[in-house]
Amino acid sequence: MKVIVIGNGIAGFSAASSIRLLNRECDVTMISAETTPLYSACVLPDYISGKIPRERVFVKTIEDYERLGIQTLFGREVKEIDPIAKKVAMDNGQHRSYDNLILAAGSEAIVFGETKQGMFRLKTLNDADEILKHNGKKAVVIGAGAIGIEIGIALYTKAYDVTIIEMLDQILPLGLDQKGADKVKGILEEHGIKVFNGERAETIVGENRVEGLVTNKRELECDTLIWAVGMSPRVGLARQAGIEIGDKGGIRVDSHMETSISGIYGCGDCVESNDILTGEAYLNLFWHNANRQGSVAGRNCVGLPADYPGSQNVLNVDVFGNHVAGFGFTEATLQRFQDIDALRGKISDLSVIERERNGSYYRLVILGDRCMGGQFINIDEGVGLLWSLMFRRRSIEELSRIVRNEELICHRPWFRPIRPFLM
Amino acid sequence: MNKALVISPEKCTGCHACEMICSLTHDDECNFNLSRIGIMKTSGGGTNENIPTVCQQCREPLCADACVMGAISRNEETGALLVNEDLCVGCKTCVIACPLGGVLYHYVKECGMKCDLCDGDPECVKACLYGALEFLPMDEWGRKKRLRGAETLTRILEIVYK
Amino acid sequence: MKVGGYAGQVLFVDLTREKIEKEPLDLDMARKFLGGFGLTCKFAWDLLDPKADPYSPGNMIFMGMGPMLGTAAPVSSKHSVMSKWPSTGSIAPGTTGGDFGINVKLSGYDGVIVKGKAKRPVYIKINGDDVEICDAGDLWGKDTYETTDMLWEKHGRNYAVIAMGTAGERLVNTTICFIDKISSWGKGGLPAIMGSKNLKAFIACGNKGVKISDPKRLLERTHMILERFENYPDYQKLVDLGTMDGFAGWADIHGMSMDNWRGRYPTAEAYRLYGPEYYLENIKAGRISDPTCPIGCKDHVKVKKGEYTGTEAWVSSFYGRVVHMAARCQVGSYEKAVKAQEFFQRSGLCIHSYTALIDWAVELYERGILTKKDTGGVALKHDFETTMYLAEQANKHEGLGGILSQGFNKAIQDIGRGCEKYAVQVKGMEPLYDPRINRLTGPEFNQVVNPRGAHAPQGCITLYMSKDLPAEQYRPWLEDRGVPQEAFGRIFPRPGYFNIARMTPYGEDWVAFMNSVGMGCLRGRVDNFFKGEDWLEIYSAVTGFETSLAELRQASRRIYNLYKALNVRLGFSKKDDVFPERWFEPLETTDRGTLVLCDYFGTPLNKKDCEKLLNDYYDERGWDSETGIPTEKTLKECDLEDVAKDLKKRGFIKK
Repeated sequence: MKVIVIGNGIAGFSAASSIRLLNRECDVTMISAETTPLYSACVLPDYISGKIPRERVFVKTIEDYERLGIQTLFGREVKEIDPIAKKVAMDNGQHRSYDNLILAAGSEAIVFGETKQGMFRLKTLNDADEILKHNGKKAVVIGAGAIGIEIGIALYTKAYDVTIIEMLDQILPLGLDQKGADKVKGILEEHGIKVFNGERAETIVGENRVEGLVTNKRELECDTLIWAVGMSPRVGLARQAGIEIGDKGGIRVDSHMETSISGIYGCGDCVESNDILTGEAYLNLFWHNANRQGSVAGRNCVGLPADYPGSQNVLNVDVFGNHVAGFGFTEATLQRFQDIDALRGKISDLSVIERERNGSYYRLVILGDRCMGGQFINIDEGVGLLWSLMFRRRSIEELSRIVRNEELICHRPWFRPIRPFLM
Repeated sequence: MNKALVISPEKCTGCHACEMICSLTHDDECNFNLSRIGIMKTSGGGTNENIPTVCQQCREPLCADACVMGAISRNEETGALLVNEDLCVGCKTCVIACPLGGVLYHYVKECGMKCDLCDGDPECVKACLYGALEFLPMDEWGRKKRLRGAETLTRILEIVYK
Repeated sequence: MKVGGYAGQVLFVDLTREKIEKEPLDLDMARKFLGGFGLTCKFAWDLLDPKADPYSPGNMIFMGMGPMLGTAAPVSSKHSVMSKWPSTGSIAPGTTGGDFGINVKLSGYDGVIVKGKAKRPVYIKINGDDVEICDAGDLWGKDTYETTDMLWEKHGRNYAVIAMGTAGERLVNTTICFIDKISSWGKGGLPAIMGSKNLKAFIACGNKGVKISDPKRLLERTHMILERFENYPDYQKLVDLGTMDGFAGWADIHGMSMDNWRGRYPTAEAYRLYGPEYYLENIKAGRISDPTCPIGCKDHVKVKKGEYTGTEAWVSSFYGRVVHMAARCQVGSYEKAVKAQEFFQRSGLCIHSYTALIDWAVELYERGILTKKDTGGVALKHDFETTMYLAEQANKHEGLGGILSQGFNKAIQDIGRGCEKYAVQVKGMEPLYDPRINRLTGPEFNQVVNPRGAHAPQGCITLYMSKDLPAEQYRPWLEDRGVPQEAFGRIFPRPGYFNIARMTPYGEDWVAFMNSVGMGCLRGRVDNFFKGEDWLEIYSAVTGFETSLAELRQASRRIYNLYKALNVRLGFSKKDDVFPERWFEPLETTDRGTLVLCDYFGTPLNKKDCEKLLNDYYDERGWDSETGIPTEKTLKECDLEDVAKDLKKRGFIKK
């Protein structure tokens, strides 16, 4: 059997290596535009800030691929997929045939406007290298999601004057509600990073180089501009091959990670996956989801059935020594949902448990009897347990009853770590 | 068959010996916060009120999934999941992903810290004379549990039918 | 060489000025006085005004955590508190296990010193470098269990809590504090001292480590010691029974006195009401252990049937408490014993001390010295109702119970009417062991000479010297624990005999040693598994200091002499080292005939014999036999020149 994996991100590598760990006979070829072995895009801000050296960004070496028996065609782009002939065409004119195909083409950073000197995005190692080569002094980061915050802090560490602007009224909108977000904003501002909410980028000032940014509220002087407004799944190849694209913009896959065309699987940032909490398709573009999706796709590809349990929205950033974590849905996100049916609850059933204590903060978002999301600042204990109970759809009322009753909890001591959240 | 670190909380007396030995053997000092095994104490500290908590070396580890550096992998000989400190960047995603509190943060080395089964000869097991920690092949543990269950059932039946 | 073991800091808390200070630990002083108990003696000598009233802001609380505390060394859990006790007026240590000491050590402190008085109820919170004086408004008025639960709720279960109960708030002397509801600390009135300072509790949670100089060496010796426990065939039985392994001792082989030292609790009754099988079936709920102890003996008890079903208590020596309730108070059943225990523990009353006072009061009532006018209309008997009645009064510090609860010294003053004739006490504290029943062995003898008062069991050579073993059986322990060769001729002057008075100092020093370095336990079930070289190895492995058993013994002797000097300064002397009168009266028992005061070998002792023994003790100690006070020569030998100078200046040492 010949398997081709398109993409060398964690999804692609995970798929290729899990095939290899289960099946030594089949042919596994990985085609990727990247020229290096697998690296972690998540730690690029640490590389930029100087916390880790360049070598540490890499997660695998070329020997790892060789040892696993993965044939690698790096620096090559796949231009077209022919699903009938089961062939892919590369940019050098060559063709390769396959029995099964795994699409792990990843995503692209969303950027607006013409490219100018001083304008950057942060998705690849190459992007990070470019930023490091640039000797700027004043930076504006557009977008206050996790990546925007991390790159902002990284540049601050390199003595940049940093301003982060965000269209919405709060930062970290995917992971936190207003209250938690404002706390984190406060920490950033305490350290001298300016953060403007409700601020939209309108025009970039400067001919060939970035000299400033005009927003809907003010003019900001800067020599460095970073786009951090999100990623969009790379679906060009798939669309062209006739593979169904979902209405969130990612490739549609079933629980076996198979696309609408039999024998073609998808995993990672290029797919939209069923959220573990609602079962509905979302773009949960995170490393850990890509990792698991890759191994599920790999297994199914070689005939060993595996089900993908669902993707998870997780936030995890360190903000000047404060550990900010979150998973699931925020209250604001739930309020915006159209498909309430999927949540099996009414918006009127939305409630919140939140508490602040000694520099730590948490908020649980509850819909009816289910916890749908959690936000944590400087709390590590019990978070993982709470999360696993959440996506197993445990009843909050039952959990509260157990943790409040000494007799019951004596026989279920594994629930103790969540007690502080529910008391 | 791989052996596993088996916990019997009803035998734990909360003496902290496992925590002291673990941090001693790994970090040359005795320190609760550097121990990979922890005693969760509850209320008064009687039966079932001291729960030793340690990584269960899951078959499908959530920590390894979540690790953005792929720094957690399994030692095939011992079955233990190990944190490769050269790869780890200390982002703590594994810490929040684990539902058991099995992966912790080493505040000195600034990286993930977890039970490595002491290369196949766990020290904590040797330090616990109460039998709350055992290192057993899985079939043996199964037999022991069944035997205990049978003993409990016998006692219950005696009371019911006496 | 890496120095380990010592945390390197001492915490000073001034409640009056609400100030917290941290001073570096003088390592030379630490080596000289070892740490723990030794350190508290030194601090008390330097800082505590001998004239301070126990209830005054000038009285201080000294806590010492030894270098081996908070390490992986087996049984490294004991730590000391020292203060001037209101019940006896002596300056003495209280020793305990439990989680508080290790959490203070793991917070980075070798000692905690508290002085002054807070303006409103407070508790002290220690969490590594963060030390805070917190408001205890909602804790005041709560008992020890409630206080502990509330503090756990507020700060997390991983905090160790020392709580004092409502009795302490009312300045009741015969009280004791509890760590995590279970480990008792501060017999003689620590709660009263804390109450006088408006201090309700201490809590501690460690977040640092104890550095170990040679980790491999520590690990090796730890393994060696653990193996001895593991290989002991009856190991599991000892764990199952906990302190109840001593049942045969108190019920049968030795025995407990009752009726205020006028009888011996009948063996048959003991087995009928308080046997170990009943305990295992109906009372025991769980086994708790001190830090790093492999043979834990502390109890979680819960009554499973009868009138008091559900009554729950946590006790550090269940056997000890049962003995008091059974023999002194004669409450009549295990269930009632647990119920009474629960009340004492919650209110913070010291079971050891207060039950002795109840026992005494019942005799006074029988003799008509106390009448219904004093008792508030209640007839005092040896039963559960009387026990609870007086205990409740004690807790409220009112009525006869309140008078008794101030301890023998004050109660004798308040009651008068010749009641002291019937009080069996030494320096104001009640003895536990009756030498007529047990014979005059180490623990019994130490009750007479202990500077604290008749406190059991500080002077022993592994608790309970079993009767009828040949004298030579006791040599190995003494040799193993580094007793100098030249002393053996005096301790064993002829075959088949030992002089207990000359043996006791070496037991006392060893206990002082264990409580100073923070490792070891005087309970035989633990101590029997240790060898003297264990301490030597571990002390060196942990601290990095190479030493010898002789040097460590020298340090212990130094510490003990300083401890004695502290009390000499208060005016204690030979006149206070008394054998209670009643010990010289024959003891009529219902099942063992008539027992009289004897030495270990069954030879009766009269007052002159005891006087001679006392002089032997002073001689062995190097103390003046006329005054019972350390001589200048001895103090100099112990490297305590400044102490000798001070005592001379105050006129305690004449020569």
